[in-house]
Amino acid sequence: MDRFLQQVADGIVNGSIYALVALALVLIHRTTGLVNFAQGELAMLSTYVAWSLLDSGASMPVAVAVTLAASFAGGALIERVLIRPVESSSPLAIVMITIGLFISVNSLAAWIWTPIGRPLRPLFGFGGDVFELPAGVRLNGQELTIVAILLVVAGALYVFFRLTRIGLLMRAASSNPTSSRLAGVNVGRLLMLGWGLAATMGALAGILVAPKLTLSPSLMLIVLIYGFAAATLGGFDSPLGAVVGGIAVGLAESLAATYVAFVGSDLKLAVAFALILVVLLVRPAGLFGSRTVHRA
Amino acid sequence: MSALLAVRDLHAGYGPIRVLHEIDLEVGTGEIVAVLGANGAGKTTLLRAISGLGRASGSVRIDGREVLGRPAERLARLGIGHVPEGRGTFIDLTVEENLRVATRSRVDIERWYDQFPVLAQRRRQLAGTLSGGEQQMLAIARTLLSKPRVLLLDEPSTGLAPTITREVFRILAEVRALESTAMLIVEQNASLALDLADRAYVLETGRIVLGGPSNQLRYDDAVRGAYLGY
Amino acid sequence: MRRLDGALVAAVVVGALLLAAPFYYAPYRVEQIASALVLAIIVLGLGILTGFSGQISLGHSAFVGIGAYIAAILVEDHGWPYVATIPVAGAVCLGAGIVVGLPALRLRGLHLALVTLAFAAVFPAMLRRFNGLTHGNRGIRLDDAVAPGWTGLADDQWVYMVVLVTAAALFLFARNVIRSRVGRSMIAVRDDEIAAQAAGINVARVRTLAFGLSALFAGVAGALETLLVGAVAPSSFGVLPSIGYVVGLVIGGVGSLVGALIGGFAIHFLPRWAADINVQLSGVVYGGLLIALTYIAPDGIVGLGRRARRLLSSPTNQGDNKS
Repeated sequence: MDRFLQQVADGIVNGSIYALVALALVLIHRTTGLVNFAQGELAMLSTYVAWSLLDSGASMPVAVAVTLAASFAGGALIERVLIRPVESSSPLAIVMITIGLFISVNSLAAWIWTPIGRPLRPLFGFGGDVFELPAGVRLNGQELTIVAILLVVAGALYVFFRLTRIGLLMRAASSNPTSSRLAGVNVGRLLMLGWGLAATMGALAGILVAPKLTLSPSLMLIVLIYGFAAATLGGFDSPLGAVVGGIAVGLAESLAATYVAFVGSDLKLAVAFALILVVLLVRPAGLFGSRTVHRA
Repeated sequence: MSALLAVRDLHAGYGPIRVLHEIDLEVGTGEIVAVLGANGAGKTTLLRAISGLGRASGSVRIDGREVLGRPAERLARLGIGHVPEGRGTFIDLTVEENLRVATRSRVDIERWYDQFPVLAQRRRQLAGTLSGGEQQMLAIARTLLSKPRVLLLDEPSTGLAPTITREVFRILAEVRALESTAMLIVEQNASLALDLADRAYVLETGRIVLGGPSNQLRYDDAVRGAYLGY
Repeated sequence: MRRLDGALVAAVVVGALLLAAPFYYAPYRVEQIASALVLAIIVLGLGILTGFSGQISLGHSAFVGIGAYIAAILVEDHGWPYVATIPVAGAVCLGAGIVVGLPALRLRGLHLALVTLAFAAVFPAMLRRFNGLTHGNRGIRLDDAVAPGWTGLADDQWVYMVVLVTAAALFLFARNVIRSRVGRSMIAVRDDEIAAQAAGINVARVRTLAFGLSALFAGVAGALETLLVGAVAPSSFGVLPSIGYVVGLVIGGVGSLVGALIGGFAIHFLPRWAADINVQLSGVVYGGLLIALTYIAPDGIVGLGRRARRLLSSPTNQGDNKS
């Protein structure tokens, strides 16, 4: 029983990372209707930037703040320069561009920092300390931080979308861009905002997970697939779905690896794949998604 | 006298397909002008060209100021309020949220709730669940909240039952009486349009073929035969 | 009439060049051209799937892997001759493709891209898992292929010829499929599924068949790759190669036979040229090229060629309209 609860706790921790990535994916999908295949690689790049800052002597808060700000700017810039011109093109064209980004960024990171894994410190000083929770569950400080940050981010996004004017305008822009423009809303700037926020969340996910997995150019590919699974399960239109989906995927991965002998540790990713497939076949909108996701 | 909205020699289309040719029209302050025409005549293209959604060449002036080529969000702030074909409500947002997109002013929103009690009743409902007529009122209210100088309406009667349509047109007349908002209404329902409007134009295959006071057009033989059915 | 002659002449010239290559170049170069041809086959199959039936797949390396492993296992563990494994690989992958195509019926556009991407990511892990069959992570190492005595060819020339003949056969096959009723049905489905259905086309059958055919091409290519390289390992078949195939498709031009050939050569030689400058930067060049091409030449090099031809032939013709 203890082991089971530990697995559940581990699953929730991992799930929080997936949820953060899923939130980034959902954000972009809600604002522009696209799936950003390069999300993971951009997060990885941001994490390397953070590592470099730390390595050259910056304190953790400074490194994180600069990285998040730079990620925001980068995301907004990518939307404006790369995505905006082809927004109305075929899905294939947009897939191509985000894939092109994927490849470039991955190689860029390998070129600048070489493919050797780098160590990244946990976010807070107590990150390495192990905490004893009820029922014999043990988690270290970084893991608790991850869950806490997910809750904070999810809460902040909720407030942002439901209670602020910009959040309302972003929802309007994603619901009907034409009517938004006719109402005087600068849709272009909102798109940049959406991508900037998504990049920031991806960067946060990268910074949080890197200490656990070691920072290397292939860090985020796997996390991205899990993030996709989470977003698919929860519904690409729903931030709540992203959180629930992320936790669910984390739990499924953790429990399946331990309790389903066939899966073992190699095929954990297959769990994500199977989930994606089943959800898309049975209920394409996901658990919480509401609209038809097809864009003409 | 310079008109509030003056369109001169407007040409518009989609890529190589030309839809509108040499369009000249005017809307004066406080005037309601109708544009009649059959499907495919280019009515929607006309409004889109004026509001900045579509590409066009020629001249569009508001209060004498040239605005052709500016993006739609800019023109909306310059005083053009376009209620598009199909209403264009934000179906995923509530009625209240739809109105809040247009303005921050609580006072203004409450004022339009008074004008349209049915919207007040449904303020927490998702706009997508409203009936066609209610969505039309919502779209008009939302556009009016931006305080436009001229309101462009694209076929407000589409998909609405006759009683609802008459109600919508009655509201438009009231709005003009209250706010002196100028309006350019494209409509297939010529009879209702001519009742409401001061002047009208007839659009056929992308060209203005007739124009004048509505009383005059109502008794014009060509118009009667083609659009009024008698 | 002139245009037809031009295409025919070009085809003959290219064919002759390819035929002469193994007798002119050194073995390592011959092997490279053969690899490019193998890639061209994969891109061709992908072109049938994406260009003609409108379905995106980011997971074709899995089919290549299946074909490659079938060939390797048959040769190494069961003593089959290399050439005999090729049709088997193709047939199995045809079936696999149809099986994959069935759930893909419910998926469109970005969803399909996503699922196939995940498939490609999982595939190497699956290979490792079934290590009884696949020899696990270290893969299978085979003896080099030996040219049969009656051909009088050197070993590398023999391998090249097998590849060339197979490629030519598949290109002809693809050409016939595209021009057949099946091909036209695919195009109809791609352009407007509902209209195609209303016209009596069995959309499900067309789409799954497209998947099956594209997988067949990939499987055959996999078997050929085993022949060429003499080894298979799980790490060769994953997300990056899959993406590479799609890049080749876009570079050459979606939905074009010639484009597939160009694409295959492009994705074989471009990374090598870029790597001459710097290994890691090659990825940046690659990715940057992909992005640039999406803007400048969304129809690939073939599309550029078409546009150039139009501009040259008719001075008033302004090309595509973008509204």
